[in-house]
Amino acid sequence: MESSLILLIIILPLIGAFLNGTVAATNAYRKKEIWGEKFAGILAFSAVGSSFLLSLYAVFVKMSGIDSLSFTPYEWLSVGGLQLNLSFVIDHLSAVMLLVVTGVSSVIHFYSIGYIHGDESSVRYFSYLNLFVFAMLLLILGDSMPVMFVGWEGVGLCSYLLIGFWYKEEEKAIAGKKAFIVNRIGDFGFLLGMFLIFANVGSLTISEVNEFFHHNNSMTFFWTNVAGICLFIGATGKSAQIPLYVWLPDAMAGPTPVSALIHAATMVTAGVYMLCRFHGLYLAAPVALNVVLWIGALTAIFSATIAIYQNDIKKVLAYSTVSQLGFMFMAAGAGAFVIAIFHLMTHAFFKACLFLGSGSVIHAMGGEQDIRFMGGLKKYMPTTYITFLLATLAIAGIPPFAGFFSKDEILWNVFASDHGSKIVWAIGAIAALCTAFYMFRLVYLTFFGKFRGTPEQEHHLHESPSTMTAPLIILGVLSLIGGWIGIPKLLSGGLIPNFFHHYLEPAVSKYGHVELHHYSHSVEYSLMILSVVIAVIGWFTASRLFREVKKELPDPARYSGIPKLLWNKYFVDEIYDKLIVNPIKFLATKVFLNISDKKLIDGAANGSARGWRQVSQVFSYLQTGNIQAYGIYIIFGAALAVALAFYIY
Amino acid sequence: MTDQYLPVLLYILIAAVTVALILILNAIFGPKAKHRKDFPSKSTPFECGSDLLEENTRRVSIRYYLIALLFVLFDLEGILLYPWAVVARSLGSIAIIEIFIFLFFLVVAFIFAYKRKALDWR
Amino acid sequence: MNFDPIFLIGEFSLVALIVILTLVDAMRKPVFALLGSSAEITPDIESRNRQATWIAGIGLVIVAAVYFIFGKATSGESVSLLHDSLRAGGGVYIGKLAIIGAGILTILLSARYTMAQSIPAADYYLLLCFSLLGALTLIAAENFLMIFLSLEMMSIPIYALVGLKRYNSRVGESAIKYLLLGGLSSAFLLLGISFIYGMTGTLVVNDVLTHLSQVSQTVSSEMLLMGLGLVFIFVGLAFKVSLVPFHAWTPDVYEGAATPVTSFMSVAVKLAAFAVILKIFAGSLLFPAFDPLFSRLFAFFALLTIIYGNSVAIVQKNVKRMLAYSSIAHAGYMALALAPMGHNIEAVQAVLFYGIGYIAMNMLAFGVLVYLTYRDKYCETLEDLTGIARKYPGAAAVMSVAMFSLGGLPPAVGFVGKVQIFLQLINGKFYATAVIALLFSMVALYFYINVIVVMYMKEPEAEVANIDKKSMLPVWLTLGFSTLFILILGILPSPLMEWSLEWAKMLF
Repeated sequence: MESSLILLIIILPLIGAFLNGTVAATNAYRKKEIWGEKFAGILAFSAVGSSFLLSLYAVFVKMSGIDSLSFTPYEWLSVGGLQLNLSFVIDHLSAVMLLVVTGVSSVIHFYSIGYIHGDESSVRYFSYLNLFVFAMLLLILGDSMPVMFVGWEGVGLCSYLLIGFWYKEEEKAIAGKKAFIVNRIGDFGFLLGMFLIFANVGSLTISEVNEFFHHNNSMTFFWTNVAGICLFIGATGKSAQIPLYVWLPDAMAGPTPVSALIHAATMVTAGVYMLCRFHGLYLAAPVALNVVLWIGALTAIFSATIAIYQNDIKKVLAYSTVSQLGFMFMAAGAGAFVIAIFHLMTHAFFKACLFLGSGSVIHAMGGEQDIRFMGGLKKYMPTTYITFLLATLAIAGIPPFAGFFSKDEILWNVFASDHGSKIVWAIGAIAALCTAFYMFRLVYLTFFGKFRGTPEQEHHLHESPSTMTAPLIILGVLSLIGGWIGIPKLLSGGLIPNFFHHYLEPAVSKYGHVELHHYSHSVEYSLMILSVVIAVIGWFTASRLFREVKKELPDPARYSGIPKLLWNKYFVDEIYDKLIVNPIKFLATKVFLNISDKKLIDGAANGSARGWRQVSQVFSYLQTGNIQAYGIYIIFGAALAVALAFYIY
Repeated sequence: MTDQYLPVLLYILIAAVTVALILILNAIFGPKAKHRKDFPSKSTPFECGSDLLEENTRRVSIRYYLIALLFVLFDLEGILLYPWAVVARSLGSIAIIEIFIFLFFLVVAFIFAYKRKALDWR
Repeated sequence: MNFDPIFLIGEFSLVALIVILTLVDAMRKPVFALLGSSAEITPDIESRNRQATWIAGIGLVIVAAVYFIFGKATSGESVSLLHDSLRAGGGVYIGKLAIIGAGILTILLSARYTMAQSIPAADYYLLLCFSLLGALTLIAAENFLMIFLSLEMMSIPIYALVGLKRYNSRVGESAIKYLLLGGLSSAFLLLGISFIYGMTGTLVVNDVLTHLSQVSQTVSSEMLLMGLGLVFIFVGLAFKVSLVPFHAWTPDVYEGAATPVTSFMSVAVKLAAFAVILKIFAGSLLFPAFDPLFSRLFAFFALLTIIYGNSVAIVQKNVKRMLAYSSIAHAGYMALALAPMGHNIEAVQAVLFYGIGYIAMNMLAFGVLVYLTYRDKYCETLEDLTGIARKYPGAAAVMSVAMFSLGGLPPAVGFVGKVQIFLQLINGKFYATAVIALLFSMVALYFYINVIVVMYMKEPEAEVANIDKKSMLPVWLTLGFSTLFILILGILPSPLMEWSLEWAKMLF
């Protein structure tokens, strides 16, 4: 019963993807009207939706009182010492992730029905989207590293397919390729880590790996840390951290619901989730954990500053996502895995809401994404405005919105934890300030002031259809109340239990627990107040600068100094091009292609092939077609066998 | 144990040596010719000089073989029935059943052959 | 006599099918006129062909179903029947199902082919069923006499099947070749069996094996004669699975025979013959006196086969011939697993795994050739395949799957099979052998991939011919089933591993 339940949760999106995919592949829906885009959308939505309902049932009914449900439907391979099982587990950690992913996916599938309406390959779109959910579920529920890796690669593939969904526009296809290639670099790290772990632990089952590092860690300190860092490299690729974050802003070329689902709420958080799954390993690898902490902090501040000067509504949100992911890694690096997942969840709500809101705005603006040409949309699109504002308040960390609780706890843990650091806390606080600033800048430029676009656009401004606003409302409300399940004990005075903490703590502290330094309550209170003050300062500054924009916003081309640096994203893409891409291209074309490949390898391969063809030709002369000859071969063979026998004895 | 087989081995050896000897002697003493047509007699069936009495490459109708094969089949059936008849009584009813199964298959085969006109001589 | 007919339910139902086929065709009138297209009953060849096809196809499916359902009861434990001449039940259940499955796939392929090539269908299916019956009893045989009988029962119908398109001189040639050489190999087999019988006084395989395992390692006449007997048996069976240099008939016969027959020969006959080889040479008992010899024999002939088969396949322009050489090479891989002569169940399992997987791969490859064949047009050469991908994307796609699997690339079942074979070699410390075999499987990739290249990347010289797409469903059934089989078991191989393990247990 439990087993078929888990299987059903995973397989339903796959079935949806398969049905829509076959239809899309055969183009049958163009000839007949029976399988229109509406049907495809509803099919995809119901597949994911029922998966979500089943997950709810599994988590709240089946798992009440039990730590985990596990299920091994299939023994994949058993070769030598390697035992690969196709096994799945729902424990409290994956349960949270499961609900977030299926829940947000359902909402976004619903939104997509309205959004993708009228696109010629909408059936293909839904097929990819369902396939993505399937791969994500494999990643989340897989209990062995290979299963996780299949999911890991699967989501990468789907992300590639969806970024390049409108592949006829070259720039979008290139963005897809970029995402895929950068991700592949990270995947090498993941694979290396996996091999290291298998070589030392002899098992690839995640629980066994954690158990190993917790109990009898016979791996040296050095290699444990190397394994941790290797896995983290994988995470930097998938979760867009320094130095592999460059693909995420470009990934905004995909359809907006895709940005919301894959590049904000679910896939990019896979790295954080993976780190938390391997908390047993990471707790045994303090150096790796410290690397995670610092990379997270640097990414958070780095991308938050870039976001300040971006003018593309989706680019701002993309950098904001990178920055928020940095916060999650900060939490994980401080050993506060529960908080990392908590922020992951609240972030999924408000960032999905922001992206969908931006999608709604872009829809209304007829494809325009530049906020310099928006403004005053408040009165045209009230629902979008209010939900967008709710989500902004959440991300900026204004109480009592969801983001406040999670972000404040991250900063507190970084401040107080054994693994944390005061400097990192300071960086985080500044990043939080920037966050509040750029988000409110976005809100003011988009929704306040006068409309700055063409009159034609103004004429067309309208609120989006209800299929698009309903998801916005759901996610907006969640951005408000989503954090209430994890209210810190201090604030509520112990009256309201910290549900989230209670639920998740057993799952991620099984293998050790990171102690917080003991500080008095007053320190904690003052830090909390400080973080609220920071958020309000950011809000206030943005409001002063951008609430009523009088004169035209400056053209980015005329920026100089720091704005120029920030507008150009610290020139990271250019530096990568100069330092890595171009040398590799040079090596590839000039050295490898022309010299080693064409001359050496092709020469050797073609030469040996030609040589061998001669031999083959000689061999084939034996095939005379003459039956006497064939008979002689048999006799000869028998004689050979007998001769061999005599030779041996 | 080997001793029992020694004559066999000896026999094989003698046979091989004889064949080899004849071939070698032929090669040494026989007339040497580049082409077969230099010695027409080498192309005759017996290579002995006397002509054939009649052409031996006459075509035999394929039906001859077919009928011969079928004859063998049903002849063997008859032969098998004799030993069966001898022991049938002592084996009891199972023998009856078995022989009828056997005959059933042969009858099926016979019907097949007959309907396919395998037995018609035309 | 404790004889439970349930154990031979598969064979019995197959015999019943044969009788029905015989009698119906003998009537010379379409008994099942309903199935014919014309309302009036005319005993023309076409309607008789169609009728025979239907009966054979549906009949064999029923046989399979009957065996699947009723035979299931026997899959628990195996018993010896008829004075130790047949072993039924147990893992043989799996083997028989695989063979019957191959038979069904063949009939599905034949349905259209016989029609298009006007082959007398009733004779064709009768012979196929006879051969199938032989294969079924062969894998269950426990007695050398039974082995010989079954082997002949399996082979003789094939000789006739090969020659069934008798108005083509090439066909007649290949049939005669196969017949004569088959006779020669049978002679070797019989000679071997009589040596063994002379030395041990028994024909029951297990008793013989016990005798063999007790032969001392010191050189003696007993050892000599037994060894000679075993070598001759090896030669006889090596002919059936076409190891080099007993292979020479294979390309000519494969090329000459009707394509479905070729596919049947290359999978079912080969698998059944391998089952016998495994039973005699790789079973549970160690032969301290003979293992060193057979270890070298298998390694030597298998390597020779792999090298020769793969090399010659490169220069072939005819796809059927190429597949014939490829099938020779594959026999080499299967025999290679026996080189360590470990008498361990994993080696046997690896071979059977490969053999069952090979059914699907070869059926698929030949199935595509059947698909592209129609009335006067054979699809046999590489030129016939050039650029077909544009016109027949489905056929090209499944052909690519077949080529990937034959070449041993993941995620196809051929990859898993090869991995297991090579694992056996590594475990047996046959490193050099493994390396050479691996090198030549890379050579093999050349001609497998070449087919894909030709189909997809070359423009056809002349326009790709139209094929008559009528009654294509059976062919598609075969193609679809095989493709799914290859891909699903290539990604999730453990059911097939379990099945082949079940079967392997039978040979112990």
